[in-house]
Amino acid sequence: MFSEQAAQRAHTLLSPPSASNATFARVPVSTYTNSSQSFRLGERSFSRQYAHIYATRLLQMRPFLVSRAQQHWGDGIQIKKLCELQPGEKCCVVGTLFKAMPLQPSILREISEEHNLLPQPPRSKYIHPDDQLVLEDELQRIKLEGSIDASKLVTGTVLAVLGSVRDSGKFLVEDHCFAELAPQKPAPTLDTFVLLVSGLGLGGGGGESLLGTQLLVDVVTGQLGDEGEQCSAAHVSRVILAGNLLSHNTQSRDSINKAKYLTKKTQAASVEAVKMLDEILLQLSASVPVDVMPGEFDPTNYTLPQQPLHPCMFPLATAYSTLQLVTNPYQATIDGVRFLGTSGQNVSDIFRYSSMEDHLEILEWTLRIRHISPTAPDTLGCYPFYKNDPFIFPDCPHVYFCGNTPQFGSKIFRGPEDQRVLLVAVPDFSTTQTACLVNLRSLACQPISFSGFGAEDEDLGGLGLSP
Amino acid sequence: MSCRTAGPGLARWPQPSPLLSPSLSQQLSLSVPAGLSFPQPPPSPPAWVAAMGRKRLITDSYPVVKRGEGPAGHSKGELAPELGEEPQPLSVDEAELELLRQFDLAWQYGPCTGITRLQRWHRAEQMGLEPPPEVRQVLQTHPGDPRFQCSLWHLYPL
Repeated sequence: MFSEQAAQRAHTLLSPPSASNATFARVPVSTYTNSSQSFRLGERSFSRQYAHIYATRLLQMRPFLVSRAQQHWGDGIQIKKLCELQPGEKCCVVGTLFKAMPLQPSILREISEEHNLLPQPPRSKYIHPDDQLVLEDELQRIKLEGSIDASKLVTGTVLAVLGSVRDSGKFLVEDHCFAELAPQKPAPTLDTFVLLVSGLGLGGGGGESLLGTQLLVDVVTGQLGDEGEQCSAAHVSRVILAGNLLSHNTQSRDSINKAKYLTKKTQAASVEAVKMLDEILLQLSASVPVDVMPGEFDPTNYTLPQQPLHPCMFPLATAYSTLQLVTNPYQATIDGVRFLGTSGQNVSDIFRYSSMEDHLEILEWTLRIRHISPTAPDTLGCYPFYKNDPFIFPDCPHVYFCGNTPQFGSKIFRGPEDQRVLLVAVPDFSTTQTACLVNLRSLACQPISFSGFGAEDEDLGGLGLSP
Repeated sequence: MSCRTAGPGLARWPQPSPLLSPSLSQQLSLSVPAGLSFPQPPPSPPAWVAAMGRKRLITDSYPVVKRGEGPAGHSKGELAPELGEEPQPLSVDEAELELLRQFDLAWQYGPCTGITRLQRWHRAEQMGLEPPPEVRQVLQTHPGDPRFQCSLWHLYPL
């Protein structure tokens, strides 16, 4: 789509200079609303237990699950609490899942002297065939067995199970269902594009990715390519940087262990990287509205929801009002199309504790259980909310993305009530040199790769815009 | 092994035993503040405020037997309050504190630690759980008093 538009115009490169220059105006921003207020934290108090999040999660999700259960298994099924169960009686129970994993890193086990254990080395997946599923509701918990796949599910999922309790005290599951998708508002159709990039990885020390980043900036600002490409670039109405703007290497902790007199003159690695980021953002925001989301390695808080980066770090770029520093997760309505996305911590955490391999599949699964990060207080750091759980989908987005995945993936997912969601797994730019271009009219996504000409591919190197 | 409480046959709150004299059960029902009822926990017991009532000993129902005077000749005071004596009426403050304590212990509104009672009340209202409005009125008449505003366990580092 992007390149087809470009190919239609006549080639003007390598022609004698003309008196008139073609100028392309960027598509104006028709409507933009940032709906991430539920992810902003005002005054923060950490003197609370995490029980509040789980209680509010179950309370909020219960009505959705009850209606789904009645749709799946008929209106006549009985929905009971765990304390009302009778042995042998078939009924439906709604609760939160807990997965007891022997390989899950447990600080208590590590520091317990009687075990004399060395700290466990980090693994890519912590699943084990012996994982046990337990369903918890407000008052009790019960072990689950039967036709439910323990390896796929993770702690913190709210679901409804159909089955009966056995004499052994365990619940035999015949079927289970999730909350599925929330209702969706229809999207208008506007012929604009949004560019999604994640994992710029500045400060990582690799020169390869800097070339790619500069090419990306030049394409978006219309300084590269023929008039055709420039015209197409003018249709990009927004750029969203989905996390990990700084590289993992900027987080080296060597200076903490050294004595103060040795580290006095050394600068944190992130200072240089943030300066580079500021210059890149300056070039970008001079031309196009940019939304910057923090990621795992960025200088902001660690727990979800991550708060926006502080504007004092970008003295050059904040002069432009087109630069928006936003939270992770990020939710906004751009030209009538609802975007919702994270920087990838939720998906990679589920990847570690579940047997699902494909990040796009995990993204689809979080959409189906109607929760952005079910593992949130358990294995992923989270702020102790008490009033409500902001990670539950209030309504269905049109574009749902997650950043920093190993490779690009995109899919249109159809919900039970004709919801249509474009799922995008935005790849890590520092390793794949690929960004995603989303067409708001057709809700299709196309990868653009900016790999340098050192690669082995058959392409023309450079832009790689040709299909 | 799983943990489950016994089935719905076991009532949660103790029922007044028929062995108690009629006047005691009358006293229990008199101590219910008028017009107050919390949603009942499953399985359905009598109104839990009535059952909790005030603290009375089972031995209050036994007839008082006076012993003879002690060897030193001094008479001790009454050994037990006589039956038929009116229970000490709770002061308004104590009754309100008791109401708030029962609000804290009600499981329907979620955990109570770490947040103030007013925050918990507002959360329950937003979730549609219909918390009793009397609790809010009591909390509004005593602003700033930690005995009223904070939860039962606010002094503990939970």
